[in-house]
Amino acid sequence: MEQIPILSIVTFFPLIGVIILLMIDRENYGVQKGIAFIVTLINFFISLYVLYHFKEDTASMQFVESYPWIEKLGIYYFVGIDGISVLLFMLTTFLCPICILCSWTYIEKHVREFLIAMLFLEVGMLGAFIALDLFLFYIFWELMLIPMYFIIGVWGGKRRIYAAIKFVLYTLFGSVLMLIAILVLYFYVGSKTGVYTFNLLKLYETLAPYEVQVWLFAAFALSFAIKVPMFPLHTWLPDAHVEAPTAGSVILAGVLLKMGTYGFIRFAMGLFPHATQAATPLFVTLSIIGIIYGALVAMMQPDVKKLVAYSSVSHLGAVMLGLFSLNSQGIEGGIYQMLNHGLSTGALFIMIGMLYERRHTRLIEDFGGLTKAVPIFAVFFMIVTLSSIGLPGLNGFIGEFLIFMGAFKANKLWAVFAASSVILSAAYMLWMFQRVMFGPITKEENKNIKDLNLREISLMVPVILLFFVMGIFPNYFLNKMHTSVNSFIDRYNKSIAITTSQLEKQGIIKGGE
Amino acid sequence: MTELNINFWTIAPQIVLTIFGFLLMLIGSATRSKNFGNLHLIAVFGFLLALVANIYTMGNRQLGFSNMVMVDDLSTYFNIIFFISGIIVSFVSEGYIDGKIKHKGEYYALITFSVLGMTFISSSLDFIMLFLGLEIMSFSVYVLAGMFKKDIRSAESALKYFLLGSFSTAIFLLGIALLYGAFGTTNFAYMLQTYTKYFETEKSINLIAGSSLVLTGIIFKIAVVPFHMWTPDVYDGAPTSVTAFMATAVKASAFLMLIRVYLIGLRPLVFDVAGVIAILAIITMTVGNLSALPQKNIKRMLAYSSIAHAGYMLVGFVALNQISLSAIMFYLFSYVFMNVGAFTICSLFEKEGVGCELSDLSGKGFKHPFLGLMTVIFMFSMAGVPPTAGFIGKFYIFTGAIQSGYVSLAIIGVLNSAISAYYYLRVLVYMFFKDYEGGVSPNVLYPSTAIGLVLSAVGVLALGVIPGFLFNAATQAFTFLF
Repeated sequence: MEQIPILSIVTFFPLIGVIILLMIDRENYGVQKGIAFIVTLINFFISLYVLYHFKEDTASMQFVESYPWIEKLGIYYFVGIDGISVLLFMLTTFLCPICILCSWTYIEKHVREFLIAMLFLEVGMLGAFIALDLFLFYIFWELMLIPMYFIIGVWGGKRRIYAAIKFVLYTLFGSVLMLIAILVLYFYVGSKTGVYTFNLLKLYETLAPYEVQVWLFAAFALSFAIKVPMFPLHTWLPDAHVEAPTAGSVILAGVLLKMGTYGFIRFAMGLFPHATQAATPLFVTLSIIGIIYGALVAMMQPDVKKLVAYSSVSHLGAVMLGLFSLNSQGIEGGIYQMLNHGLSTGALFIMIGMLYERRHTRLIEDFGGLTKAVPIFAVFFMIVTLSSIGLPGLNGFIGEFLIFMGAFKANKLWAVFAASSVILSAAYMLWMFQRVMFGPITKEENKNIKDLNLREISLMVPVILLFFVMGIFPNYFLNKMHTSVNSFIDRYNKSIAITTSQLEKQGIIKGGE
Repeated sequence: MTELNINFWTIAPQIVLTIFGFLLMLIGSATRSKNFGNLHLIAVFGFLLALVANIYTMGNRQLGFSNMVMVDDLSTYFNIIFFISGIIVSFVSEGYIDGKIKHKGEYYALITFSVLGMTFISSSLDFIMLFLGLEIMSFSVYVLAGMFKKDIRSAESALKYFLLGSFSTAIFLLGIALLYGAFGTTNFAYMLQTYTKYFETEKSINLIAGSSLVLTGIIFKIAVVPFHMWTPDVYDGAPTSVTAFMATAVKASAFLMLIRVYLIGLRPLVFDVAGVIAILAIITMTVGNLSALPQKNIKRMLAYSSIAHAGYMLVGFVALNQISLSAIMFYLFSYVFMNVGAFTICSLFEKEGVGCELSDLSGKGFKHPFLGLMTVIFMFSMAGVPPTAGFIGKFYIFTGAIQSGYVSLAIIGVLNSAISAYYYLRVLVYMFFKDYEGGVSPNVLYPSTAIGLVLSAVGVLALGVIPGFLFNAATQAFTFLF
């Protein structure tokens, strides 16, 4: 059946923007921003085609494209999308135009280069979500590093160089080991089945013995855990978030961190079920520590942006807990929470960026009583804060609820610990909100802050609307992932039913379908 | 055995290069007073003609000159590396040496002769031939290193390289003598044939000593630790365009020697040698990278990093399978593009007598966007980040290593490459992240230099996105072994 290669079109469409930008006069900032915005917006509308034609009743990959790339080694340009990745894919195309809009005045120097970096970043992120060939995935995974490195390093804050290098080195160290694991898996499976391939779906079918799985899982998990970031590998995140410009933080929180959790469910857990089962206690413990630790550290932060950064550690811990519950509620909740976190934390960063542009500070003690000065801002900020806390009726609630349900089904004790995050997040977010927005205006500078302008309102409105939609009609989104998540769980359960001794005896077992 | 089958087709590229070498010298001396500025184009033209001749000889394996010369896929593909390096170096040299070297004809003639030596190495089937090629190449490069006659560091570099180089050549020669004593021949093919006859049961001391000494001579040229001491000083002192040439083409020819000697002539010994090289590879990567970390001078940093890159390529030799050996060739190809590019950037920001410090680059990336973009491409490629040739090269090398079961070697390799990212990206930190502080502006960008840079960048990206064709060709070159 001939179909248009929609995934490739969406993924590489931003490059058209790069080419146009290169042809425009260097100083003409307005036109450059306009073009980048329009290109990303058009890309979002094109990507709606994917959402619209996405079939909910099948777990197999959709919109598949496959072309040989390096045939000698069995490397293919092989892309496709299923219920796990489709919403993350959409989230990326949705956030990109918003990011460009929110950096309209924030970025003052080298505007064209910034926009080019953003567009390249979009290509890398979208590619990583659709890649079904391990080599291709690795290429896109690394490709995201380059623009992000520049975005933090060039347009970031005072300690940007430190933050950018830390970000790149952390990620690189993890990912090079993953590359080795990919190669070992490739040769292992190849030597057993005779088919040397990087095709993820083919690799799913073959299970390595436990001893091999453990090492490979460790390498994959290290790389993804750094990206998530899980406690204790999270230390790059606060630096990167605080120093990055607003758009960088939004993309970082909104999409890049999801790359780690997505990698877990798609690659680490899918390929190595036995090792996953064995590692579950460790990862659940780390997730729970992350949830509580992140929240406690967030509470003590004097800097709003750093507070939100640490809250990410906490939220992502919850996502990981959901995934490692390994039941349909937990995983669906985890994926849902990935979207929520992307939107609410992204929105928080945008709003903090707006404050920073007006006051050039992010310290909580420099604010106070802002509700009187900037009422529209206050309303938006309130909604975003509540969404981040997980107020029923808004998106955050659904995700957290599902995660707790999944965790409860897996182990009651996990749920007890995890649920503490509700209280803790309410504590640090509301306390921050109170200190920033309420009370008397103590600082003279705060009296004359301008309220949101039309551009800022119009970029917040779609996000806020989505909060409500996702909070009130979660089934529209959950339905998209049901089949894929269930098939993932089925495959996982079938795989671990094959005992370790069987794996060892036969060396290899054809699992799956 | 002594049949004299002179076959001039086998040395067609060499003939072309010889003619052009002398031609460049003559034209150079004839036009010296007029400051004739197109000698580099003549050199490029020469290399292109040699490339055509080379492609013409491609295909069947041919022997010539009493089996002293053998043309096969391996030699022709390596010749392409040498010619491409020659072409790009000639392009980027003109802007750099203009005004600094009076005898430009000699400069290009020496480059040409040096490549001539390399092509002899590549098609040699005899130690004598190999040695001749090595000497032709080395002597040209010794002189090239001292081409800035008034620069004391250039003179130091040349003398150091000459003394240590001849020392290592002497060791190499002694090794050949011992091997001749063991086999009674210097021809690789006969050595291979008679190996079982002489050493079926026991390896003689002559064989072992000779083989070790030859190996020493070769890894000196590759600059493997612990024979790397000369590299930083020589690379740093030599004219930057010459350094680029040394780090790419000369290094490639040394790897070719390794392959020629130990995969044809002394093939029964190759696994012993690989065991030694495995350890050397680990030390080389690590020492190269750790020494490069604290360097403030970009040229010196690149010199140390070239040691590290040699270490990665040695991993390919250790693994000894079709993928890993082809990977060496691919790596050398990509290394020509990225390294010549990187050294050229370095030469553009160089100050007379001081070289190029990291701090000289502060904020220059946005000030000079073309150079900035080029630096981004080359540095990410050197660090091994996709979608560049540098990544694919490392990918192939480690794929090969894992195929042969050297997982730990591959892990050490990738960790090293992650360390190397730090100092490569630091160049970009200075170029883009630091604020512009004025200071020296880059040297004038000659059109030919720009062409050279663009060629390199296109090479880096093209090999990074569509590596398949070159890799297939490389595997084909090694089919004789598998």
